[in-house]
Amino acid sequence: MRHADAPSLLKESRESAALNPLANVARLGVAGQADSTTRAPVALTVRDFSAWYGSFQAIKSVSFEVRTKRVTALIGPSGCGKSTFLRWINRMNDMVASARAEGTLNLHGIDLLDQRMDVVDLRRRVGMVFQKPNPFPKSIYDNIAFGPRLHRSFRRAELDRLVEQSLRHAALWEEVKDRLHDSALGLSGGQQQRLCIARAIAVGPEVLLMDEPCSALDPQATLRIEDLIRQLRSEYTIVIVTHNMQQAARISDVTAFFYEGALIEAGRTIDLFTKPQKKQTEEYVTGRFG
Amino acid sequence: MSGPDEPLLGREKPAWRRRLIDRLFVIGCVASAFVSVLILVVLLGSIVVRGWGHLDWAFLNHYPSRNAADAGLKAALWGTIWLCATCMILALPLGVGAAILLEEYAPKGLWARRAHSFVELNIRNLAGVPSIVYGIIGLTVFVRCFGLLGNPNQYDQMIRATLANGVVVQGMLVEDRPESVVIDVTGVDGGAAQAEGMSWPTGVEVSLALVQGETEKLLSAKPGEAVSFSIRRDYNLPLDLAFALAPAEEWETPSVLKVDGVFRESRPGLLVLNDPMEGRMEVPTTTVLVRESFAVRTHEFYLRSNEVVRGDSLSIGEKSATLVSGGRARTINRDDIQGYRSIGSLAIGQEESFFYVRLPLGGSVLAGALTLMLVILPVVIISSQEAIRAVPKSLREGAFAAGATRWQMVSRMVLPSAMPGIMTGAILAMSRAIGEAAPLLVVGGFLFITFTPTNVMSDFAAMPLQIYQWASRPQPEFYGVAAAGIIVLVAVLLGFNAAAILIRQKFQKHTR
Ligand SMILES: Nc1ncnc2c1ncn2[C@@H]1O[C@H](COP(=O)(O)OP(=O)(O)O)[C@@H](O)[C@H]1O
Ligand SMILES: [Mg+2]
Repeated sequence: MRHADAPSLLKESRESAALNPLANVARLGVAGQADSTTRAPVALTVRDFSAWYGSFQAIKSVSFEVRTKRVTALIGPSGCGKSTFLRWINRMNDMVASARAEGTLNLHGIDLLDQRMDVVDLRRRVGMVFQKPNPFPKSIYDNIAFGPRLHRSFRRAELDRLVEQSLRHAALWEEVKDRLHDSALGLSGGQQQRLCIARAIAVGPEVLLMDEPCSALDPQATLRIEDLIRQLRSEYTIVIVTHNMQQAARISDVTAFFYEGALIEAGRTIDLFTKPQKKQTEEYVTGRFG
Repeated sequence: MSGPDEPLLGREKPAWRRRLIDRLFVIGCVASAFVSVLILVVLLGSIVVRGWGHLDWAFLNHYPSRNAADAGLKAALWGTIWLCATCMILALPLGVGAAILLEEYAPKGLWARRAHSFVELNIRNLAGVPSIVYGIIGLTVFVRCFGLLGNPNQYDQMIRATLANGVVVQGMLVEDRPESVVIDVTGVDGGAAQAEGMSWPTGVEVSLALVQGETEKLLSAKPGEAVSFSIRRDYNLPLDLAFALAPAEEWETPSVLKVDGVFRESRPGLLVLNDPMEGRMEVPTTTVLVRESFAVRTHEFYLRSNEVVRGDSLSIGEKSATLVSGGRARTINRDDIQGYRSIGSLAIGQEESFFYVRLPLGGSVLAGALTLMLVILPVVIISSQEAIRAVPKSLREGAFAAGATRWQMVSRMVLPSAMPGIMTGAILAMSRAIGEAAPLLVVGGFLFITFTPTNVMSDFAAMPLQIYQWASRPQPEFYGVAAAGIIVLVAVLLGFNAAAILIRQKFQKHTR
């Protein structure tokens, strides 16, 4: 049932955005934060970045900047390379044999395309949340403790505290505190996704990557995740891929619009939605295609 | 195709005929299924009917005997347990390791990728190789170590030289010169010259022997008197076993072997012939027709105090017997010995710790387990690969995204998730190995053995070999014994399969 709802929500939001995108954005209060957006220090520098799968070029010479402790939304029709871009930031594409990239991708001074770069350390600093919640077939506790245990050894009490903190951060603690040692697979989809966020937070990252974190969730669970993202905004640099422009407008400070592998336009969310510079952007945000 | 006015092409098939064929097909299927089930029921039924009477605790707890009523499966059961446990310990890490390598560490370079798929293809092919082939590989590689490390039994190499005049000289090999062979015949049980209708070489005294069927004759012989008689040996037992002095009830009527000896005395249940000779014989190589090497056998000495001493006999003389037991020499007064018999080779390992290993491996538990490991390894690898492949990609990505190294990802995510599948596959592979007789026969599993293994270098018997041996005996009583053995084997197999199913169900509950 809840899967049936998601597309209709999407459609609805697209329609209302089409009628008056500015009204939406303004109502959600993003506009007020817009001024500080461009002043935050740069976290990720992207210059002439191109990526391939074999001979297929999935990203075509993209340049922009992701700022520290801001939410950057990547939008665009499916297949335009959003996930590919995200997966280069934490080098998840190392798992794909045919993937390669060129250009500059620089996170806080680390050259992400350097073959000798320590990906394990990078992934400690860059957490990721996937499209489909992927809780491990372990207890809730062990899910959260999984990441920290990889990197450090803990005394039991320390780990307990870390698990609690992470779950509180992900607004899940109250719901699961009595069943920490039950299987995580027994949680609902939305809880599972918040668990995955808690799991990513537990390692202590600076950057959180989220690849359509709500697309498998019902509207209510989606709203809870969005609330959570707004809370996390003050502590983490968040890059979120979303299909849902409404969502991008609600939660992001900066939006980048990808189309067929190219970055068409990037800028303050309010600007992108209210005064798009490119015709394609305008058509997309008003729901005329995509 | 055809328009509304055109007639349909082709001829209508009569519906009754199609229905009839359908019916016949179903009947055919049911009949063939019924026949195969019937055959199975008849086979199992006849085995149960035949074997049920023999199936009791004593059957599981007795060593094999020439007497059907006493015959038991103990040595074979324990031999199989030892084999399987050792095989599992060897095959699991190797098989799972290989599967992890193939699945998780797939290389990226072109040639490395080709090598990778070549290896994978070959593992699939190896799964179809007949087990006897692995037996022969096991014989060459494990039992003999390509002959590079000497004779498997070089510790106590015995030689049996058949001379041109028909005399057989048997004893410890002392020196192997180009022109002659020096053989120490002192105190070696069966270290006798055996001849058929030939006179003994001067200076060589005749050795011992005994037979039950001819007990009367022996009893009538006087101490010191030379005796000679023939018996038929009806199955493979180590030659020197037939030579050993043993409690008389161990022997039964139809036997083989031309035996010569000097009767010494008889006691109830025991025949004592003369002592083995002493001294060394130098045999010119020109007179040696056939030479065979084999191992000294371990002996069990039954003392009058009811103690049983197991050890490697060094000498059995007029007054006393000396043996090596637990690495120490021990001398037993001859009068204290009620009887003794040989019980297998590689005696020195007999009382060592269970992981004691010596190269070459000889026909030991370890050699058998390694050979069985070869048989099941491809199956273990393939089933582990499948279990590992079934772990969702999202879990791998999740682990990587948390900053896991590849090994951490494998050990903390993939292996725990894949373990039920791996265990199920391994257990099913193991249940195949349990029934294997051919490779063990080649490697040197024993058909008649009266002890359980004490370490991985021990000789061993195994259930399928034991069943085969019983089934091939001429006495009809043994068919029942063989059937009882089959019931036990089938029960063990069903137990294994049940364990596999239970493991799968248990873990499915935990993860879903
Ligand atoms: N592992 C892969 N191998 C080959 N092509 C891929 C792979 N992953 C994605 N692609 C292709 O790259 C393009 C961009 O994909 P993706 O980044 O997943 O798009 P988005 O997330 O924007 O929907 C698509 O055309 C897709 O088919
Ligand atoms: Mg995507």
